[in-house]
Amino acid sequence: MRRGLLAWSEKETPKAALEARVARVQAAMKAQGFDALLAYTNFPRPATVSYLTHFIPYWNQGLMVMGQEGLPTILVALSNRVRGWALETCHVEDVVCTPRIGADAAKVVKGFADEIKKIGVVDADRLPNGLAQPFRQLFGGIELVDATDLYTTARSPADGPEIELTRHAAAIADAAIDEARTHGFERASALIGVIDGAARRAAAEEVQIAVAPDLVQGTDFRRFEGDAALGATYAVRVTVAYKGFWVRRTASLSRGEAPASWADAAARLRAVTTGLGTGAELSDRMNSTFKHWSAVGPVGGHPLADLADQAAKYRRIGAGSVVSLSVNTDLSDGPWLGGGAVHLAAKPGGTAQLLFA
Amino acid sequence: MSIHDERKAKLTQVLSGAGLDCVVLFGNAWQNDYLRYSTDFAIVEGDGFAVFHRDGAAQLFLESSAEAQRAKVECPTVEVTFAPDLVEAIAGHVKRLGNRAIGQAPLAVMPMGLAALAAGSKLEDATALFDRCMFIKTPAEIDAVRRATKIAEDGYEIFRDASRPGRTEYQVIAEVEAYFRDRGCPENFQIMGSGGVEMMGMHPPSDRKLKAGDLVTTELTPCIDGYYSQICRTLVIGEPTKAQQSAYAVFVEAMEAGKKMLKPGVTAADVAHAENDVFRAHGLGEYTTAKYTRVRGHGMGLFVDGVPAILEDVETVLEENVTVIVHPNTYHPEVGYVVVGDSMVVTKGGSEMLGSFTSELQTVGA
Repeated sequence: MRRGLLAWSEKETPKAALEARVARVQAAMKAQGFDALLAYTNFPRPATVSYLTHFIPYWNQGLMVMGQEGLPTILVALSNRVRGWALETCHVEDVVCTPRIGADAAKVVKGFADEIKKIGVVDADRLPNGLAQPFRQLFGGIELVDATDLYTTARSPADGPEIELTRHAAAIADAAIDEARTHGFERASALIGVIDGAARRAAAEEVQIAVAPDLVQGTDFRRFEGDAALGATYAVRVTVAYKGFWVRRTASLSRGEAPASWADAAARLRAVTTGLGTGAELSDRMNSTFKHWSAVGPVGGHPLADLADQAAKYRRIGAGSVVSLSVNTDLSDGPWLGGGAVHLAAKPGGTAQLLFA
Repeated sequence: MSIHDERKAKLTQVLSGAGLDCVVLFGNAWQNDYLRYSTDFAIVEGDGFAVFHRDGAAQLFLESSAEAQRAKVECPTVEVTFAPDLVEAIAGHVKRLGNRAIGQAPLAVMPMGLAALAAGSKLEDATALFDRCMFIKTPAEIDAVRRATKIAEDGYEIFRDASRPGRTEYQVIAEVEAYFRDRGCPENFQIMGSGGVEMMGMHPPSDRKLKAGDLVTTELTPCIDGYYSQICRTLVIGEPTKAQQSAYAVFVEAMEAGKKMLKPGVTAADVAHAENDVFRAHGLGEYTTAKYTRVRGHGMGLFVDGVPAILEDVETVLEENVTVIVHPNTYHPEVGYVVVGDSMVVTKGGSEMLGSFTSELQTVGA
């Protein structure tokens, strides 16, 4: 479950910013003839709904419905006793706590227009069939059309609050890793405990940590249920969310003196990322420098979906969007893993901004 | 035999009995239990499908490359596929399975894209089969829940000691999380509340600062080897008032009544009635309704909030080796929301408390 801080600060995410995001999506809905838009949410897949409303379910599932006008309404399968909490954490028309999410959401949509002809769904293929069925019943077998591209196009470039909150998430990850650098850990669990605690004390909404415990033995990351001894060199992959925005930071650490080649590798990573511009040539640039790399970022409800790696491009990368890069490279004195978030330039000729130290 | 091997053996037997060749299972970090049961993989990011075959072979389709890499290392006997177009990949796989007898679970959250893309493939609902497997625990599963109970109790001590005036709720939970990670426990379900009569329930940690006189409630639910166990306790910052003490005593009495009722053959409703009757006897029956409380306990295992919900209208019969928490958590009009709950296993002759933490009202210095 999500058990970090889930709170909405109007100072960090002004109502006007949320309303502007909703308006951009609604303009696209009007242009494409959508009477309503649905977006599913649960805590592993919260990105669409949190982007538009700031709502993040700590548990269970929900559905956001939105017409061509007005703020979205959220229907969530949580107890009515937490409705007050939910309303405090988001900017919406209403939060409806109900075990019949699909049926009650369909009724809300019915009120959007005299006749509902076209309903769009972000991540349509993932909408639970049980939630889709009431819409088909109420609207005479209406087809639920995938609207992921509509939403994705409206989402980029990143706006001011997104950049600042992502920067803050990246700073939390950096500080947590820095705190871990000061310890001479011998166990993975101790390393994970310090990073997790530091990030949550700094108000992270979520922290996910994986460790490659001994880079001499291999570079595969693991999530530990139990423990493992750390080698002389090891790596951590720290994923942090803050107020709805996610980053992934990868860092190689050593118990003693760091291998001499690491500084050069870090410099190469910084050089290639700042040269990414809008990201239009991301794959070519990354492939020219690193044998193994990956880029992740928000796609629909998935906060860190695979965008591209050394083998393929999986999703369009929007100019002005934020992506997290990870690299894995073999050096003369062993492997090095690194990476962090990058804010790509919004226009050709612009410079990408590194969001990690 | 490992827990995973036990589960595999049970599943192969169940699929054979049901005449199914394989079953398609969906999951993510919220609804992880079906994937975990069939493959032992604890998914963290994105969605995934597993296909479990009657001969015990299993495949995982994961939309996250990071998760796919991790699954290959953590579940070496499972065939893992990174599938960025996840639903398309599983639908194609289902079609290739041809006219075999295929089940699917859990039906309630199965993505609609699978039904559309796998049109023509008959997918039988296997949710009840799986739920039955997960309901009755094996000895190794009970041992995992017992170990989770131990770390839950240790974690509560960290929570209690961290609950100091001036600290925010999220900072208190950060201490518990850091402790759990240090103990090798990767996951926890925890909500809390702090305050007085205005506190109507629990929620994720907020930025509210604790203060002297607060009731501080939590349900804390760490996960060991995939199995959750829960402890619910209430503490007071400073000296408890008489009202706080007498209110809390009602909750302990209700919890003990529920625990005493717990044995093979009784229903979830029987346990709920036993708890609620205590409130009714104290003139607090109104506070046992949905307006003030959700459930009077629930099952636990690979899913934190499992079946059965302990409610007066749930007629599920409890059996030996079922694990539940009994928690009569609700609002008390004089002091606010109060919680107390113990994790239990139903035994042949009755039930056994899985932990040993005192049910006394906890206090910390103001």
